Amino acid sequence: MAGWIVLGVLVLMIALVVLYCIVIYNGFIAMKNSIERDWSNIDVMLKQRYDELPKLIKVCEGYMQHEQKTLEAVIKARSAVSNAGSDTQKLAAQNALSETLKSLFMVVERYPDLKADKGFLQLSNRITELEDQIADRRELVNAAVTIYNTRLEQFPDILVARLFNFTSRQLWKIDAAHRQDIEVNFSQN
Amino acid sequence: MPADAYLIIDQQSSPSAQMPELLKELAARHDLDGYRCRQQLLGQTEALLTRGPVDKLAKINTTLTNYNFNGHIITPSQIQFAPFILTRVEINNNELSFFGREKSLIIPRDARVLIILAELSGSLVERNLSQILSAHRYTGNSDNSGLPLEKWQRTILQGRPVLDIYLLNEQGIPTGAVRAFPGKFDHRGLGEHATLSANQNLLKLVELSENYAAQHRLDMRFGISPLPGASLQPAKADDLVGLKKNLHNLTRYAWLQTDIDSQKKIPAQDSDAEAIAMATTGLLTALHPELAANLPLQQELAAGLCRKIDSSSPASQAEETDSNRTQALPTPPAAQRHNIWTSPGAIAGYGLATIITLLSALDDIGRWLTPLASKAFSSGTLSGVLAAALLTAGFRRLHIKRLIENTPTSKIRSIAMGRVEVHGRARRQYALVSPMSHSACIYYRLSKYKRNHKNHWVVSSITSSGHVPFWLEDESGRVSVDPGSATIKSDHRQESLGEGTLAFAGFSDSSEKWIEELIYDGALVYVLGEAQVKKNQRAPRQQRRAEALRRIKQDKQRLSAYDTNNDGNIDESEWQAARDEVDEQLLHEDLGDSKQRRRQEDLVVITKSSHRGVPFVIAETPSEEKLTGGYTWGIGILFCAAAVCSGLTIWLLLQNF
Repeated sequence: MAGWIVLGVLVLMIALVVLYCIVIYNGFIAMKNSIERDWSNIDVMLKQRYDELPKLIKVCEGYMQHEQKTLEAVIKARSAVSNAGSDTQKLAAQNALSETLKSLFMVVERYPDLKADKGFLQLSNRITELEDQIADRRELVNAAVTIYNTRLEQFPDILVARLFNFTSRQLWKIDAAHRQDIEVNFSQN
Repeated sequence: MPADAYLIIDQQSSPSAQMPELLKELAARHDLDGYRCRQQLLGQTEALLTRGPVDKLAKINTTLTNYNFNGHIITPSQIQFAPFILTRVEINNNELSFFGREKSLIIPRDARVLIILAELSGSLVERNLSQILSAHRYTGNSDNSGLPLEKWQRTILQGRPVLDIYLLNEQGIPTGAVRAFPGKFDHRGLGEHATLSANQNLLKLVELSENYAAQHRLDMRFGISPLPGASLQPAKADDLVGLKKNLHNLTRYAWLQTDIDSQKKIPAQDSDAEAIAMATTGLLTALHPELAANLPLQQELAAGLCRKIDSSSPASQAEETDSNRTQALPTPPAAQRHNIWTSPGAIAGYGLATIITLLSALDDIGRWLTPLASKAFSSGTLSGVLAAALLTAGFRRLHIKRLIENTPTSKIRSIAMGRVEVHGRARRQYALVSPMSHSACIYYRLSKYKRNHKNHWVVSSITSSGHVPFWLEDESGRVSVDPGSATIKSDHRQESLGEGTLAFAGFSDSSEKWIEELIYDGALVYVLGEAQVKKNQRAPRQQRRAEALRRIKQDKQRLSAYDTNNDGNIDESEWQAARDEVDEQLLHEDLGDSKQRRRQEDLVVITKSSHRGVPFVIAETPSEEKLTGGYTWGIGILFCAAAVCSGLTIWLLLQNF
């Protein structure tokens, strides 16, 4: 009988270990899906920004007759986003669009009438708000990925991760060009 | 060596946005202590900011003026005389005469007086302080307005009042003073003004002095104004030394007030009104001589101008700003009251008790229950079940802990729908105040206990504010949290024996006990829940459409407007036109509504997930690490207890076999 009891104890201990592994495994699955969801949530914001752009360009066109180049760059960048195929291309196109938008808002400084336009103000505020939210959600993705990657390398999680082939995820990275210091030149040409 | 001058400041009831900058500047440029300065600058009266040479104080005053504070530099006068005690009063057409045992004071019609109505027991100070504390608790802001002015007089008369009247010369220097205690002077001198109440007779003296003097100021702030040497010390009725000291301080206060008044503009009560009246008469005479003869019109115009000037004065503007800042929170929805006797646990208990009673009625319960319990323990079944329960609880907590750790914290302005974790300061959405400690809070849970026949505490009722939503705000924005069905962990707990007191000792014979757990307004709170779009407050469009059409049917006038062919009947095409119009109207309403509700705080709410088993945690904690640390301890204890129970079970099993 004692043998049965010892066997029972062993079974119980194995069951506990299995239970613990289930908790870890479920945690990995939840984190993985959470990262996917966070990426998709960024796409939602990007789509909203994409939809707002034609309205902004339309408002700007009325005032910025001499800035066709800038406006065309925004339109081109927007088209590039819709034409991008792979994730890397999409990421590059989104970054390019953000840059052209920054240029557009800088050029707007030269047009006081446009700056005072109610429609432009609403749209620019909306786009700035969306940009802020996109930035926040990118931070959230990075936070989620960091937690996930940390878990992958922690004990005892590493055992479950290796057993079920969970692999590390990439953090959101900005272009190398954006890391460079900005040179500000106040001299008049 | 000349005596130090005082810089007396007119306090402001609440701190302005510039206050931190002012405090920094006072500390950096004038070497003043920022904390002390803040204490002195906020309040409802005047306070001594600092003392020193006049030129140094003038520089400080310039800084204060830049930040909209009024300062007065005074060289305090020595007390030349103290008021004599009033024994008798005489009134005649031209003057008001006060008599003491040896001295007298005559107030002529054109006199200037300072009237000080003071309270010596400290009840005014106490009530004022209570009012400020209550305001802080209920409104959650730093308003220091205190007791409304109209209540001051009543509070003074309910305590231990004393009246000082100072006659001032043209320079504002006291030339004579009298002190009146209620019931201590011959009230018959008041003539037709005399009443049976000693306090009312004191008030009549105030009224008479105000009526006789051309310029007067009534001051009731003794004890509240933190002026040097003029404080009110708590003294019992039989403490003659304390009373004497307070009366001396009152005299000091009066002399300081005359010094401050002489630095200020002449009180505007009469002079401004008179100047405005004269100006109005002059203008009317010049522009419309026929209207100038109309005295009531002149008075009305002058009164209107006075009101206009008063409302545009900086003081009244400041008051207006204060009142705007103190936005009243709405009353919270009615609290949920759980009757412990009708809870599922209680019902299960009734069932168990009924079964045991029935079984015991059939046979002697002790004969089978005791051996059954003994068998359950000795066989290891009881400890085994307990170990399983502890393990389940441990794994449940482990799951929550890992969920908290694995969920990244979102910024509130960009939270997405679905499971979110946010951390920030909790702020009240409703004027929620805890029932026992009367503190402004975002959540409370009050458990009431009563002693049973065995003198043991048993829960009699549980009240919580779990249904009252609150705001959670971080540096990016704020979001509504609906704490219904959440696991709420508060960091504060208060106990009380008896009815609402916070003292415990000496009340052990009380038959009631309260335990209140609460999360204060402004506490740092962690929330793990599900972000959802707030449900639309409006009824479904279909329902509103049916309602609108029903109203049209009942309104004959409106109905006839749709009768385009004027045949007295509404045919199908005409009714369709009505339906189209209603649809369009509802669409406009909905579109307008969606435009208005653009802000995230109006759109999103964090609440319990609609899926079962997903935790909804609200915890008062400075950081996530501290929260998960608490969970780790809990899990450790549960697993250790489970291990002990399991070990006991195995040992019992080995013993049996």
